[in-house]
Amino acid sequence: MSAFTNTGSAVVQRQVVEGVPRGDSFTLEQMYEVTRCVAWVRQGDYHKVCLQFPDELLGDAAAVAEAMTCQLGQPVYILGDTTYGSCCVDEVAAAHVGADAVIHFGNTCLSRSQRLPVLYIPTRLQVDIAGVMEQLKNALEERDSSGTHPLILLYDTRCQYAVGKIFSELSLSLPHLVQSTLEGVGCEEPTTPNTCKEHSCQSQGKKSKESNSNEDSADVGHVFDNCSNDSKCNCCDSENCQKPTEKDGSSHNDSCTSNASNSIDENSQNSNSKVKFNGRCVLLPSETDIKDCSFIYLGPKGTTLDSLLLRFADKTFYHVPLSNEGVQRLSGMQSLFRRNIKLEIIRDASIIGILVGTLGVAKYQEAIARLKSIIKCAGKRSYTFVVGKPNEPKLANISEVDVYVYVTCPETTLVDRASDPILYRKLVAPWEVEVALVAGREWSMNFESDFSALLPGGAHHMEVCKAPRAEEASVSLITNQTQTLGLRDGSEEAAAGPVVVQEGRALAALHVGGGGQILGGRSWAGLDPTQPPPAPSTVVLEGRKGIAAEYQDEKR
Amino acid sequence: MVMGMMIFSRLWGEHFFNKKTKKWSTAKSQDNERAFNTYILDPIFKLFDAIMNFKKDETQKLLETLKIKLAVDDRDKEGKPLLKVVMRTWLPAGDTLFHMITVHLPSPVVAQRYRAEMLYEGPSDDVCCSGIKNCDAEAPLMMYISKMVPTSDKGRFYAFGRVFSGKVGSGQKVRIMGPNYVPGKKEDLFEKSIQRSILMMGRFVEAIEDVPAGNICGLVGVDQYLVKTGTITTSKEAHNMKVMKFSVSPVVRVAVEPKNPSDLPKLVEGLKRLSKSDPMVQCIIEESGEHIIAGAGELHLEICLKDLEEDHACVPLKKSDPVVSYRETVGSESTELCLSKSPNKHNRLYMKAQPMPEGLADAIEDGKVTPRDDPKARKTLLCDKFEFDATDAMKIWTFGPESTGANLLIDVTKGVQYLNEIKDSCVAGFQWATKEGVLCDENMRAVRFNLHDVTLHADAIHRGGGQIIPTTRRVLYACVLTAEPRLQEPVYLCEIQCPEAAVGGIYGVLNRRRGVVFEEQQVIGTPMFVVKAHLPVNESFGFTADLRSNTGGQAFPQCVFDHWQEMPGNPMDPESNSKPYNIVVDTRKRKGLKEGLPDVTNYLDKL
Repeated sequence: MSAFTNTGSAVVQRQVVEGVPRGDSFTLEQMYEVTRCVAWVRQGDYHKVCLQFPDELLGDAAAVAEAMTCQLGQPVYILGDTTYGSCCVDEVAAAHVGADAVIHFGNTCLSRSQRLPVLYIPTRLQVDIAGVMEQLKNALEERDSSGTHPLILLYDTRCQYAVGKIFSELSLSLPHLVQSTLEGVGCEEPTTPNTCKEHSCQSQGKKSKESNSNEDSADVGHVFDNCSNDSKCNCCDSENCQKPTEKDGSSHNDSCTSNASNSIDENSQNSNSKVKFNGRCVLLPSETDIKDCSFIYLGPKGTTLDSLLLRFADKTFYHVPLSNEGVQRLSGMQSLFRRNIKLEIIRDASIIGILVGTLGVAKYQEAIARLKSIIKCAGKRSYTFVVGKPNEPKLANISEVDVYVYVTCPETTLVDRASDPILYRKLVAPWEVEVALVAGREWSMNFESDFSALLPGGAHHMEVCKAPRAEEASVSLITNQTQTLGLRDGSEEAAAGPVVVQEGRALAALHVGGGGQILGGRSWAGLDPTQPPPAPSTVVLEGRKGIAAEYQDEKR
Repeated sequence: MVMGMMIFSRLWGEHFFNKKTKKWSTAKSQDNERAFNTYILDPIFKLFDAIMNFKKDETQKLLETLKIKLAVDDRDKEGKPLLKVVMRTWLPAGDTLFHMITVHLPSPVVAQRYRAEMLYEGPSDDVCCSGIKNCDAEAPLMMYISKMVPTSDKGRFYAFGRVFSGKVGSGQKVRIMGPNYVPGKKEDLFEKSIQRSILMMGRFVEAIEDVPAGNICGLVGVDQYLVKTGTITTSKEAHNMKVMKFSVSPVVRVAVEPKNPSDLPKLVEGLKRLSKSDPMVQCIIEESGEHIIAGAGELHLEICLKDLEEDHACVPLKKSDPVVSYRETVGSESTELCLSKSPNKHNRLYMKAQPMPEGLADAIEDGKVTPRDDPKARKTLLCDKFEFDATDAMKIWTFGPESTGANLLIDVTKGVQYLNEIKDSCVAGFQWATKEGVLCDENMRAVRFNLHDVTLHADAIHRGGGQIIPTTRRVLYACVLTAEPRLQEPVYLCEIQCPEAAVGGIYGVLNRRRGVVFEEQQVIGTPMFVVKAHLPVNESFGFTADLRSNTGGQAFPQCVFDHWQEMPGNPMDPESNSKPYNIVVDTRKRKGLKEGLPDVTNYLDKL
């Protein structure tokens, strides 16, 4: 075995790419809310609990686990180096130890998982509240006074603890400011038992109570963690999914109530309308549309911001980086335009790989099935791949695939050229596949990075017809040659069936027009049995020892 | 009539006529005159002289002898307007040209007999080729579509072309083959019915039932399956007709975007239409997300943009300033044998880059050396003309980018195990790397890559495409970066006509724009001079206007893409602040690549 592996030094020395480790400014309790975790575990009576950490916080994992073990009197498990993005709950890894609950630490994409109950602990990033306020006030002064339109405050999940304070101070000078809330991510609660330490979030607790009161009580949904029902997450209502899609009752965390809504209209009888996107939820004052809003985003640059920018590409974002660089005005237009080439790549492709980037986000299987049928109707072939985190060598191994559609959480799905290593084949989002291949689905400036919105019941669902499309052709803007969509008349396909007769013998012709054809075009297709075998050597020499990375005679 | 024929034959060549003696001779003497001058030029000059100098009586007399009857309102004209009317009535250019065509151009029956082999890609003895040779209306249909003509119906086109063999008609089921069709394969092939065949006469069209070989016509209903040109046939065995070659090349490009972002789909649709309707323009979406229109020059692009905005996309557009596309090349052989290791560190590739011999890149681009040549014939050519080593010439793995470009991947290894197994992966990596060069993502050109050695893992799964393709790209990049990377820019051949007095002004303008004059000649018998110069395309923007203002409007330039030229200066040297360096930095920024220069240590591995 040792011949195939190296010493592993590369893995040990590998630099963790991004992320901010815990600074000195937070105590373990502030950062990881151990007491709340313990209370949640007790409440749910879970026996095997996994603690999932992103790479940058793994340094604290042992301390947190120890603290929890002490308080719970039962061992907990630490999950690191997640299979897919660290923003998603790694249910597969949790299933390896047979866990019955997961506590997820760090930044999260807020996509729903389907099998295990999850407690999200957002952890904290250092936020200089006074500095942020100062920067924001300066930046917003430049904003033209036509600003009767709402300004929506969005933030990185790790900044949640500071948002209440910022919001209450800002709203004094900005009457149109609207705060967004996170679905399913709680914060410390005054009501939590055993908590007698400092509560830095009290102002927010109060805040959310207030806003709760003006809401229809039916709207207040069941929340993820049972220990803190009513007074937080004021908009955490029902899920996007519909009741019938719940499977085998194992989903503890989703609690669909009757008013599954993702649209503004259904709530319009309320004085406030509710808009949800990317696991966030905004209560808009009546008679305003999210199309007129501007946004403030608090938090570091990253996929969360990218995803939001693309979603509201034509809106202005005031990005407050936490590093005192000053507020930047951003717009997702450029990156949305930049992604436009992907539509042409998809239309040009003859083989599309479906790259599974999650085994946890709810309804990923439905999404894959839908993609398969769309691709088939468009006269293209699809193959499904599960490779963990995609990287260059993994994807280039299957060089026949022209483009990969990446089915994963809304934040990981955006693989951008600027931010990621250049891949041999591009990754695209499910929404882009639909826009490119489904007749009638039109491009818009609201990039839908969440595949569940495309499924039945989602906000952007569109019925696709199962019958293959008639063949149509146009010009590719990449190669300047013809590109075709849809299937050719059946007659031809029948002629090239699975069995061909050649020289009087029937031969199986596998995958006509697909992988088999590509294999035929290769210059090397395995050993040639007609070649005479090499003459047996009479002299035996001793070869080199070691592995190709470093043979023994090459040691310096 | 006999007299007429006799004079016809004596109009050209050494034939002289003596007016006094009415005798012909074949030598010039004192009192005879060249027949062409006597019979053709003299009368025309006489008429010009009479009219332009307002000799009314003489004009009247001439008009009578020539039996020219003028319309009532033309009779009062004089000077130039009168001359125009008279000449139009006396010697109408349209008729004259038409006569020329009928007299001098060979008929399809004659022409196709000897041109068939030049027109057809397939073997000269198959049914289609003999059909073309005989211009046979009963043979299988062979038709070449040379242009897509926009119809009044938005987004639809007439496919306009010539029937070389067989008959094309409404309702006929035909095979439509694009330029990439290969007989026996299904790519770039459609089987569709022709809705209608039409005669196209100037602005008018008229439906026609069928059109036999030798004629030109338009087709309705096949436009969406063709991009710019293509072959239409009824024979399953038919090969393509040869694609028309343009002497120009799309080297100037502008980026467009809609003023209103939500119009993007309309822009994309418009670009698709534009790329059909113009025989040469290229409409491309770049990796950077820019929508690029590439044309022959500033003027061509201006027309394309106007068409796009007004006819095809119908949305207001924002246009960038024109930019030139560059090529990446190398100045010398790599200073070291470059090594890159695969991601799993178990495979190593050793390569070197070197510039191609002078002229080879042009030969490849002109189609004199192609990947489809017979390897033996190609070897002879490469050895004789380009001093290739005979074994190397037989071991060319591929051309690139797009398998046809002017870069070579050559295997110079000696007895390496499993090498043929990784060939496909190496080729894929080579295509990728030559398409997106290391400096600023432009195509590479005129680089020869030699594969010197490889070390591969004994287990096939560890030397698959995933390991080899990215590694090939990295090692190619390392090779380029260690071989004095250089940029090439496109250069126009510029012909300027002007009177002698303006020549000085031309030199001034050309000097300021890095132009190099290589020929200056007087046009014999006129006071005009022709100046020929090479002018970098990058400097040609605004050249015409500049030239006019510096020569008092007397100089007329004509620019045609001529060749690629290496730019002096090292693009990798930030100190020098040279032009290539700035181009690389700007291009990287525009394309959204990582800013700053590429670093060789990212690509080069140590043992």
